[in-house]
Amino acid sequence: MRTIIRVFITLVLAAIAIALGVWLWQYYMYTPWTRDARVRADIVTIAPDVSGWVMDLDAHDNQQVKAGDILFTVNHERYEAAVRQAEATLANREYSYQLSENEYERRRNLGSNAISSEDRQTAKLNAQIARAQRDLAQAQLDSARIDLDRSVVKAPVDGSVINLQLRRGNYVSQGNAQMSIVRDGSFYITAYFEETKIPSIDIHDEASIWLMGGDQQMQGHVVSIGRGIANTNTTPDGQLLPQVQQTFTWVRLSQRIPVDIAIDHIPDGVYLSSGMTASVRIDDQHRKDEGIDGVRPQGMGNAGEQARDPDIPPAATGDVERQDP
Amino acid sequence: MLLRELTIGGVFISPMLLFALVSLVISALLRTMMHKAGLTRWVWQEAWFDVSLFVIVLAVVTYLSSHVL
Repeated sequence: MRTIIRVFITLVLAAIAIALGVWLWQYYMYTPWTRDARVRADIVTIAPDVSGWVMDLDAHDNQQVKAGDILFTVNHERYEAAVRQAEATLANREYSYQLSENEYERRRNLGSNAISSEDRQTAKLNAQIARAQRDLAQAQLDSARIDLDRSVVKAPVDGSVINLQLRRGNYVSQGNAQMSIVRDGSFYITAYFEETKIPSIDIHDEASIWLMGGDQQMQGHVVSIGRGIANTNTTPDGQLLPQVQQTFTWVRLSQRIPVDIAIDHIPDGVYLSSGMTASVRIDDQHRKDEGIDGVRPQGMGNAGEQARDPDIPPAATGDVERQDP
Repeated sequence: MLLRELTIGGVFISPMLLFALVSLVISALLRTMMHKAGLTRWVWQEAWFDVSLFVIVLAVVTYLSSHVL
Protein backbone atom coordinates (compact mmCIF):
# COMPACT_ATOMS: atom_id res chain seq x y z
CA MET A 1 0.00 0.00 0.00
CA ARG A 2 2.76 2.42 0.94
CA THR A 3 4.63 1.65 -2.29
CA ILE A 4 1.53 2.49 -4.34
CA ILE A 5 1.19 5.84 -2.58
CA ARG A 6 4.88 6.56 -3.11
CA VAL A 7 4.65 5.75 -6.81
CA PHE A 8 1.44 7.72 -7.10
CA ILE A 9 2.83 10.85 -5.46
CA THR A 10 5.93 10.82 -7.65
CA LEU A 11 3.97 10.21 -10.85
CA VAL A 12 1.46 12.95 -10.08
CA LEU A 13 4.31 15.34 -9.40
CA ALA A 14 5.96 14.32 -12.68
CA ALA A 15 2.70 14.89 -14.56
CA ILE A 16 2.30 18.34 -13.03
CA ALA A 17 5.91 19.09 -13.93
CA ILE A 18 5.33 18.09 -17.57
CA ALA A 19 2.21 20.24 -17.80
CA LEU A 20 3.92 23.24 -16.22
CA GLY A 21 7.01 22.65 -18.36
CA VAL A 22 4.85 22.83 -21.48
CA TRP A 23 3.21 26.01 -20.21
CA LEU A 24 6.63 27.48 -19.41
CA TRP A 25 7.90 26.68 -22.90
CA GLN A 26 4.84 28.22 -24.50
CA TYR A 27 5.04 31.24 -22.29
CA TYR A 28 8.72 31.89 -22.81
CA MET A 29 8.82 31.05 -26.50
CA TYR A 30 5.55 32.55 -27.70
CA THR A 31 4.87 35.53 -25.50
CA PRO A 32 5.62 38.39 -27.87
CA TRP A 33 8.64 39.92 -26.23
CA THR A 34 12.14 40.45 -27.43
CA ARG A 35 15.47 41.50 -26.06
CA ASP A 36 16.51 42.51 -29.52
CA ALA A 37 15.20 46.04 -29.93
CA ARG A 38 16.91 49.28 -30.75
CA VAL A 39 16.08 52.94 -30.34
CA ARG A 40 16.00 54.65 -33.70
CA ALA A 41 15.43 58.18 -34.92
CA ASP A 42 15.16 60.16 -38.11
CA ILE A 43 18.68 61.00 -39.21
CA VAL A 44 19.16 63.85 -41.65
CA THR A 45 22.55 63.98 -43.34
CA ILE A 46 23.85 67.42 -44.15
CA ALA A 47 25.80 67.91 -47.37
CA PRO A 48 26.81 71.27 -48.82
CA ASP A 49 25.31 72.15 -52.18
CA VAL A 50 28.50 73.96 -53.24
CA SER A 51 32.16 73.06 -53.00
CA GLY A 52 34.84 75.04 -51.26
CA TRP A 53 36.76 75.28 -48.03
CA VAL A 54 34.93 75.85 -44.79
CA MET A 55 35.26 79.48 -43.80
CA ASP A 56 33.20 79.45 -40.61
CA LEU A 57 32.11 76.50 -38.55
CA ASP A 58 29.25 77.44 -36.23
CA ALA A 59 28.09 73.97 -35.28
CA HIS A 60 29.79 71.85 -32.67
CA ASP A 61 29.39 68.21 -31.84
CA ASN A 62 26.09 67.23 -30.18
CA GLN A 63 24.86 70.80 -30.48
CA GLN A 64 21.14 71.38 -30.32
CA VAL A 65 20.12 73.29 -33.43
CA LYS A 66 16.90 74.79 -34.67
CA ALA A 67 15.76 74.59 -38.27
CA GLY A 68 17.43 77.45 -40.13
CA ASP A 69 20.43 77.79 -37.80
CA ILE A 70 23.70 78.24 -39.64
CA LEU A 71 25.89 75.14 -39.43
CA PHE A 72 28.88 76.18 -41.49
CA THR A 73 29.83 78.55 -44.26
CA VAL A 74 31.67 77.54 -47.38
CA ASN A 75 34.05 80.17 -48.74
CA HIS A 76 31.91 82.22 -51.08
CA GLU A 77 34.31 84.60 -52.79
CA ARG A 78 34.10 82.60 -55.98
CA TYR A 79 30.33 82.52 -55.82
CA GLU A 80 30.20 86.26 -55.27
CA ALA A 81 32.40 86.69 -58.29
CA ALA A 82 30.12 84.38 -60.24
CA VAL A 83 27.14 86.54 -59.28
CA ARG A 84 28.95 89.68 -60.41
CA GLN A 85 29.90 87.96 -63.64
CA ALA A 86 26.32 86.91 -64.21
CA GLU A 87 25.10 90.43 -63.45
CA ALA A 88 27.56 91.86 -65.97
CA THR A 89 26.53 89.32 -68.56
CA LEU A 90 22.90 90.16 -67.92
CA ALA A 91 23.58 93.88 -68.39
CA ASN A 92 25.47 93.14 -71.55
CA ARG A 93 22.65 91.00 -72.92
CA GLU A 94 20.09 93.58 -71.88
CA TYR A 95 21.85 96.28 -73.87
CA SER A 96 22.30 94.11 -76.94
CA TYR A 97 18.63 93.27 -76.73
CA GLN A 98 17.75 96.94 -76.60
CA LEU A 99 20.05 97.54 -79.54
CA SER A 100 18.46 94.85 -81.70
CA GLU A 101 15.03 95.93 -80.59
CA ASN A 102 15.73 99.52 -81.67
CA GLU A 103 17.08 98.30 -84.98
CA TYR A 104 14.01 96.26 -85.57
CA GLU A 105 11.67 99.09 -84.56
CA ARG A 106 13.38 101.41 -87.02
CA ARG A 107 13.34 98.87 -89.86
CA ARG A 108 9.79 97.89 -89.24
CA ASN A 109 8.68 101.44 -90.06
CA LEU A 110 10.70 101.72 -93.26
CA GLY A 111 8.82 101.43 -96.51
CA SER A 112 9.09 98.36 -98.63
CA ASN A 113 11.16 100.23 -101.23
CA ALA A 114 13.76 101.16 -98.58
CA ILE A 115 14.31 97.67 -97.06
CA SER A 116 13.81 94.15 -98.28
CA SER A 117 11.36 92.02 -96.37
CA GLU A 118 14.21 89.57 -95.70
CA ASP A 119 16.23 92.24 -93.89
CA ARG A 120 13.20 93.22 -91.87
CA GLN A 121 12.60 89.62 -90.96
CA THR A 122 16.24 89.20 -89.96
CA ALA A 123 16.06 92.25 -87.72
CA LYS A 124 12.98 90.86 -86.03
CA LEU A 125 14.62 87.51 -85.41
CA ASN A 126 17.81 89.16 -84.18
CA ALA A 127 15.74 91.05 -81.63
CA GLN A 128 14.11 87.83 -80.51
CA ILE A 129 17.48 86.08 -80.25
CA ALA A 130 18.78 88.95 -78.17
CA ARG A 131 15.80 88.70 -75.86
CA ALA A 132 16.34 84.97 -75.41
CA GLN A 133 20.01 85.66 -74.65
CA ARG A 134 18.97 88.15 -72.01
CA ASP A 135 16.57 85.66 -70.42
CA LEU A 136 19.35 83.08 -70.41
CA ALA A 137 21.65 85.52 -68.63
CA GLN A 138 18.88 86.21 -66.11
CA ALA A 139 18.53 82.49 -65.38
CA GLN A 140 22.30 82.18 -64.98
CA LEU A 141 22.27 85.05 -62.52
CA ASP A 142 19.50 83.37 -60.53
CA SER A 143 21.51 80.17 -60.48
CA ALA A 144 24.64 82.00 -59.33
CA ARG A 145 22.61 83.65 -56.54
CA ILE A 146 21.33 80.26 -55.42
CA ASP A 147 24.93 79.00 -55.26
CA LEU A 148 25.91 82.03 -53.22
CA ASP A 149 22.96 81.51 -50.86
CA ARG A 150 23.80 77.88 -50.40
CA SER A 151 27.38 78.56 -49.45
CA VAL A 152 25.82 79.12 -46.03
CA VAL A 153 24.70 75.68 -44.90
CA LYS A 154 21.72 75.75 -42.57
CA ALA A 155 20.04 73.11 -40.47
CA PRO A 156 16.98 71.76 -42.30
CA VAL A 157 15.29 70.49 -39.12
CA ASP A 158 15.40 70.91 -35.35
CA GLY A 159 17.73 68.39 -33.79
CA SER A 160 21.18 67.51 -32.54
CA VAL A 161 24.36 67.50 -34.56
CA ILE A 162 25.94 64.05 -34.54
CA ASN A 163 29.50 62.98 -35.16
CA LEU A 164 30.84 66.26 -36.40
CA GLN A 165 34.23 65.58 -37.97
CA LEU A 166 34.28 68.76 -39.97
CA ARG A 167 36.88 71.38 -39.06
CA ARG A 168 37.36 74.94 -40.15
CA GLY A 169 39.47 75.03 -43.28
CA ASN A 170 38.45 71.58 -44.52
CA TYR A 171 37.57 71.39 -48.16
CA VAL A 172 34.04 70.14 -48.69
CA SER A 173 32.65 68.90 -51.97
CA GLN A 174 29.20 69.39 -53.32
CA GLY A 175 26.90 66.56 -52.30
CA ASN A 176 29.28 64.89 -49.82
CA ALA A 177 27.65 64.54 -46.41
CA GLN A 178 29.61 66.28 -43.66
CA MET A 179 27.48 65.68 -40.59
CA SER A 180 24.14 64.35 -39.56
CA ILE A 181 21.32 65.67 -37.43
CA VAL A 182 19.07 63.54 -35.29
CA ARG A 183 15.68 65.14 -35.59
CA ASP A 184 14.12 66.18 -32.30
CA GLY A 185 11.28 64.04 -31.06
CA SER A 186 11.62 61.51 -33.83
CA PHE A 187 12.65 58.63 -31.59
CA TYR A 188 11.01 55.29 -32.06
CA ILE A 189 11.83 51.67 -31.37
CA THR A 190 12.48 48.93 -33.85
CA ALA A 191 12.03 45.55 -32.19
CA TYR A 192 13.26 42.48 -34.01
CA PHE A 193 10.74 39.76 -33.22
CA GLU A 194 11.24 36.12 -34.07
CA GLU A 195 8.96 35.13 -36.90
CA THR A 196 7.21 32.67 -34.58
CA LYS A 197 5.94 35.60 -32.53
CA ILE A 198 4.74 37.73 -35.42
CA PRO A 199 1.24 36.15 -35.57
CA SER A 200 0.46 37.41 -32.08
CA ILE A 201 1.44 40.99 -32.90
CA ASP A 202 -1.02 43.39 -34.49
CA ILE A 203 -0.76 46.99 -35.50
CA HIS A 204 -1.87 49.33 -32.67
CA ASP A 205 -1.04 46.76 -30.00
CA GLU A 206 0.22 48.31 -26.79
CA ALA A 207 3.88 47.70 -26.05
CA SER A 208 6.03 48.08 -22.95
CA ILE A 209 9.56 49.24 -23.52
CA TRP A 210 12.51 49.03 -21.14
CA LEU A 211 15.79 50.64 -21.95
CA MET A 212 18.85 48.81 -20.74
CA GLY A 213 19.95 51.84 -18.81
CA GLY A 214 17.55 52.46 -15.94
CA ASP A 215 14.43 50.65 -14.90
CA GLN A 216 11.99 53.17 -16.34
CA GLN A 217 9.20 51.58 -18.30
CA MET A 218 7.89 53.35 -21.36
CA GLN A 219 4.65 52.77 -23.17
CA GLY A 220 4.33 52.58 -26.90
CA HIS A 221 2.28 51.00 -29.61
CA VAL A 222 3.00 49.02 -32.73
CA VAL A 223 2.77 51.15 -35.83
CA SER A 224 4.03 48.78 -38.47
CA ILE A 225 5.43 45.34 -39.06
CA GLY A 226 8.17 44.90 -41.63
CA ARG A 227 7.04 43.53 -44.97
CA GLY A 228 10.35 42.05 -45.98
CA ILE A 229 13.78 40.87 -44.94
CA ALA A 230 16.68 39.77 -47.14
CA ASN A 231 16.63 36.27 -48.56
CA THR A 232 20.01 34.85 -49.57
CA ASN A 233 18.36 32.37 -51.94
CA THR A 234 17.48 35.14 -54.32
CA THR A 235 21.04 36.43 -54.80
CA PRO A 236 21.62 36.18 -58.55
CA ASP A 237 24.74 34.79 -60.21
CA GLY A 238 26.36 36.13 -63.41
CA GLN A 239 23.45 34.85 -65.49
CA LEU A 240 20.89 36.30 -63.11
CA LEU A 241 19.89 32.84 -61.91
CA PRO A 242 19.10 32.56 -58.21
CA GLN A 243 21.84 30.95 -56.14
CA VAL A 244 19.78 28.56 -54.07
CA GLN A 245 21.54 27.15 -51.01
CA GLN A 246 21.90 23.38 -51.32
CA THR A 247 22.79 22.90 -47.65
CA PHE A 248 20.05 22.90 -45.10
CA THR A 249 20.79 22.48 -41.42
CA TRP A 250 18.81 20.30 -39.04
CA VAL A 251 18.53 22.99 -36.47
CA ARG A 252 18.15 26.59 -37.46
CA LEU A 253 17.17 29.74 -35.73
CA SER A 254 14.01 31.55 -36.55
CA GLN A 255 14.55 34.75 -38.45
CA ARG A 256 13.63 38.09 -37.06
CA ILE A 257 11.21 40.62 -38.48
CA PRO A 258 11.50 44.31 -37.63
CA VAL A 259 8.47 45.80 -35.89
CA ASP A 260 8.33 49.57 -35.50
CA ILE A 261 6.96 50.87 -32.23
CA ALA A 262 6.09 54.50 -31.59
CA ILE A 263 6.84 55.80 -28.11
CA ASP A 264 3.69 57.34 -26.62
CA HIS A 265 5.34 59.05 -23.71
CA ILE A 266 8.95 59.53 -22.70
CA PRO A 267 9.16 59.79 -18.89
CA ASP A 268 11.22 62.60 -17.40
CA GLY A 269 14.84 61.75 -16.94
CA VAL A 270 14.94 59.19 -19.72
CA TYR A 271 17.64 60.08 -22.20
CA LEU A 272 17.21 58.54 -25.59
CA SER A 273 20.01 58.04 -28.07
CA SER A 274 19.55 56.43 -31.40
CA GLY A 275 21.06 52.95 -31.23
CA MET A 276 20.32 52.18 -27.56
CA THR A 277 19.28 48.64 -26.69
CA ALA A 278 15.80 47.99 -25.39
CA SER A 279 13.54 45.14 -24.38
CA VAL A 280 10.02 45.20 -25.76
CA ARG A 281 6.93 43.27 -24.79
CA ILE A 282 3.61 43.43 -26.57
CA ASP A 283 1.00 43.76 -23.84
CA ASP A 284 -2.28 43.66 -25.63
CA GLN A 285 -1.92 40.93 -28.14
CA HIS A 286 -5.59 40.26 -28.69
CA ARG A 287 -6.69 43.73 -29.55
CA LYS A 288 -7.54 43.95 -33.22
CA ASP A 289 -7.15 47.09 -35.23
CA GLU A 290 -9.67 48.43 -37.69
CA GLY A 291 -8.19 47.00 -40.82
CA ILE A 292 -5.27 49.34 -41.32
CA ASP A 293 -2.69 46.90 -42.50
CA GLY A 294 0.96 47.77 -42.92
CA VAL A 295 0.30 51.47 -43.16
CA ARG A 296 2.78 53.50 -41.17
CA PRO A 297 1.02 56.41 -39.50
CA GLN A 298 2.57 59.76 -40.11
CA GLY A 299 5.15 60.59 -37.49
CA MET A 300 6.82 58.00 -35.38
CA GLY A 301 7.45 60.14 -32.38
CA ASN A 302 5.41 60.78 -29.32
CA ALA A 303 3.00 63.57 -28.81
CA GLY A 304 3.85 66.38 -26.45
CA GLU A 305 7.60 66.15 -26.54
CA GLN A 306 7.63 66.36 -30.30
CA ALA A 307 9.45 69.36 -31.59
CA ARG A 308 7.49 71.04 -34.31
CA ASP A 309 9.53 71.71 -37.33
CA PRO A 310 8.51 74.34 -39.77
CA ASP A 311 9.46 72.60 -43.00
CA ILE A 312 7.40 69.53 -42.54
CA PRO A 313 3.65 69.78 -42.25
CA PRO A 314 2.27 69.05 -38.77
CA ALA A 315 0.92 65.69 -39.77
CA ALA A 316 4.44 64.41 -40.24
CA THR A 317 5.73 65.35 -36.83
CA GLY A 318 2.83 65.83 -34.56
CA ASP A 319 0.50 63.82 -32.47
CA VAL A 320 0.11 60.26 -33.39
CA GLU A 321 -3.53 59.46 -33.86
CA ARG A 322 -4.41 56.75 -31.42
CA GLN A 323 -7.02 54.41 -32.70
CA ASP A 324 -8.82 52.96 -29.79
CA PRO A 325 -11.30 50.23 -30.49
CA MET B 1 6.98 42.16 -15.05
CA LEU B 2 10.37 40.58 -15.41
CA LEU B 3 10.09 39.17 -18.91
CA ARG B 4 12.77 41.44 -20.25
CA GLU B 5 16.50 41.53 -20.57
CA LEU B 6 18.30 42.07 -17.29
CA THR B 7 21.51 43.95 -16.87
CA ILE B 8 24.15 43.13 -14.32
CA GLY B 9 27.06 45.54 -14.39
CA GLY B 10 26.67 46.20 -18.10
CA VAL B 11 26.27 42.54 -19.00
CA PHE B 12 22.92 41.72 -20.52
CA ILE B 13 21.44 38.38 -19.55
CA SER B 14 18.28 36.53 -20.42
CA PRO B 15 15.70 36.57 -17.62
CA MET B 16 15.43 32.77 -17.85
CA LEU B 17 18.95 32.49 -16.44
CA LEU B 18 17.88 34.39 -13.35
CA PHE B 19 14.66 32.35 -13.03
CA ALA B 20 16.66 29.12 -13.27
CA LEU B 21 19.15 30.20 -10.62
CA VAL B 22 16.41 31.29 -8.21
CA SER B 23 14.49 28.06 -8.83
CA LEU B 24 17.61 26.00 -8.24
CA VAL B 25 18.12 27.60 -4.84
CA ILE B 26 14.43 27.26 -3.90
CA SER B 27 14.20 23.61 -4.92
CA ALA B 28 17.43 22.82 -3.08
CA LEU B 29 15.97 24.43 0.06
CA LEU B 30 12.68 22.52 -0.35
CA ARG B 31 14.59 19.31 -0.83
CA THR B 32 16.64 19.89 2.33
CA MET B 33 13.51 20.71 4.32
CA MET B 34 11.77 17.56 3.08
CA HIS B 35 14.79 15.54 4.05
CA LYS B 36 14.84 17.06 7.54
CA ALA B 37 11.09 16.40 7.94
CA GLY B 38 11.53 12.83 6.82
CA LEU B 39 9.16 13.22 3.87
CA THR B 40 11.59 11.67 1.43
CA ARG B 41 10.37 8.22 2.29
CA TRP B 42 7.17 9.02 0.38
CA VAL B 43 9.22 9.57 -2.76
CA TRP B 44 9.54 6.74 -5.19
CA GLN B 45 12.18 7.75 -7.77
CA GLU B 46 14.26 10.53 -6.27
CA ALA B 47 15.75 11.68 -9.57
CA TRP B 48 12.30 12.02 -11.17
CA PHE B 49 11.09 13.82 -8.13
CA ASP B 50 13.98 16.29 -8.15
CA VAL B 51 13.59 17.16 -11.81
CA SER B 52 9.83 17.54 -11.44
CA LEU B 53 10.26 19.73 -8.40
CA PHE B 54 12.71 21.96 -10.22
CA VAL B 55 10.43 22.37 -13.27
CA ILE B 56 7.41 23.15 -11.06
CA VAL B 57 9.35 25.71 -9.03
CA LEU B 58 10.72 27.25 -12.24
CA ALA B 59 7.21 27.58 -13.68
CA VAL B 60 5.92 29.10 -10.46
CA VAL B 61 8.83 31.55 -10.26
CA THR B 62 8.31 32.58 -13.89
CA TYR B 63 4.59 32.99 -13.36
CA LEU B 64 5.03 35.03 -10.19
CA SER B 65 7.67 37.23 -11.78
CA SER B 66 5.26 38.14 -14.56
CA HIS B 67 2.01 38.42 -12.68
CA VAL B 68 2.98 39.60 -9.21
CA LEU B 69 6.15 41.65 -9.54
